[in-house]
Amino acid sequence: MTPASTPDPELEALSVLRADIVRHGTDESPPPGLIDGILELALSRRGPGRPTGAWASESIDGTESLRRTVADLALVLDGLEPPSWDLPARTANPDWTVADVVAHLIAGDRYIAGMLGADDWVPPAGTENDHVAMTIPLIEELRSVAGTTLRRIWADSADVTLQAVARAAEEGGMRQQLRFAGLPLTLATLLVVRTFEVWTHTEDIRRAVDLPLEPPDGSRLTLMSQVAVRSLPIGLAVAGKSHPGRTARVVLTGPGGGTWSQPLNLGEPPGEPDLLIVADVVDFCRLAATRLSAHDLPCHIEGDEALAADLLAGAGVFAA
Amino acid sequence: MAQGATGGTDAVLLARLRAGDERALADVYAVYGGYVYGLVRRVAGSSQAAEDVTQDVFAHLWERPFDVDPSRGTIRTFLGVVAHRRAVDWVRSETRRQARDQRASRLADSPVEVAETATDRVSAAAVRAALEQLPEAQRRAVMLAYFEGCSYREVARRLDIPEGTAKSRLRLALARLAQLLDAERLSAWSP
Repeated sequence: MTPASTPDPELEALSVLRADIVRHGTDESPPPGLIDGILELALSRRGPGRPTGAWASESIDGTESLRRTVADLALVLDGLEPPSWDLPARTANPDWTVADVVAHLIAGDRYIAGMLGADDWVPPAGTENDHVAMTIPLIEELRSVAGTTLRRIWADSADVTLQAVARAAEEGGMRQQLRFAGLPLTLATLLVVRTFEVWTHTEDIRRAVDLPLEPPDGSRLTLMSQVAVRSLPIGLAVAGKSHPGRTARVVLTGPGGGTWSQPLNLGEPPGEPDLLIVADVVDFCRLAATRLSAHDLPCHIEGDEALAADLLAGAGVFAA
Repeated sequence: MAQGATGGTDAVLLARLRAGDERALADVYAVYGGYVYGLVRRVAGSSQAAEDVTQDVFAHLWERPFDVDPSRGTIRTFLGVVAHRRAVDWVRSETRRQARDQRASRLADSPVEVAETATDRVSAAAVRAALEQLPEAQRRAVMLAYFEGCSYREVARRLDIPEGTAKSRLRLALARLAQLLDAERLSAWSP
């Protein structure tokens, strides 16, 4: 192996072999502290935490992320034959069809648009804190609607939502605080959570109609992986498995991945990592969306394995 | 997993470097720091040069981890190639500096370059000849490790031998090569 400009791999290999022969038997330890200088020099050339090279991605905001994801779903829906709308779609609700998934997304769009003053739709009483339950009445109402009509209703609702979030971002900024299904979060986070949901249900539909899965681009995965990792303490808290004083080093590989030292209890600063988890970023996002089980996640783990098991079991915070 | 992050140690380290895990750089240094430092020190004959070049080699790995092509070799091989090249560059730069200090003629650099290139060719030929004299088992291990870029683990797998045996076989091969190439010739290789 040689850098890109190497003229002759064999000569390079011979050079390395020659150097090894020359130094054979001479065990030379570098001076103590050399690693500090290496890290200082290296980090001055490339900052930590973000991928580089082929894994680097252009930066986009949540509005663009959601717009791209909605466009992906539109393409999938455009290709559906009428019988496909009635196929079963694997979601958190095992009885849903493809049409039900789309109706669920319509209800979600109307809820978000309502939050932002662009729709008069409000969740049924008693479902305000459950983003799945709040959509059930509309799903049932829309079961009498043909797929092509449902496609049009969804396109309209998604368009209204995209316009509403773009307007809200322009007027109040991405850091404005909102409440989504009872949870406090910023508009920026809401848009990524919604990206997660639309992408996840697009994959549900792809699975139902035997289309190959297509991960989001690296720009979207950058936003999604950030939210998925930062949400780990929430998932652990919901599962009743918070770990005060513990920190995980999470390395997600591929375009849109990155590296985090993530505390495993809400509100705590990161400490020295107790474990290292290395996994593919798309796999990790599917784990966060409960479309991949912790057991089936290919990953490399070093450190506290019991802690890792808890972390992965609680990572599915975007169940739908 | 896509991206190969669950493969061998090298694959995991490389994936971590690419994903921005600076702790992986410290881990790579812990494994290969002595190798790179020793190689540069031997070629350059200077502890200060060894420190400077070692820093630069690992910083280069951090900055451009996609330059490492796992299909062509290991992280160790990559570091060895970069370290050797930069050590030679350092020696040449130092030679030129000394030449300038001594007010040598401006043409002095050119014959040195030609002589070094010729020495490299002699060295390559000498190593090739020595390789031919190794026992077949040792020669095969060296070819896999240095010319096909295999790690210890991959050498062991390809030869169907335990990893420890692969390591000791390579150590023995290097020792034998060192014997085959006399000290005078070895010293002539250093630029």
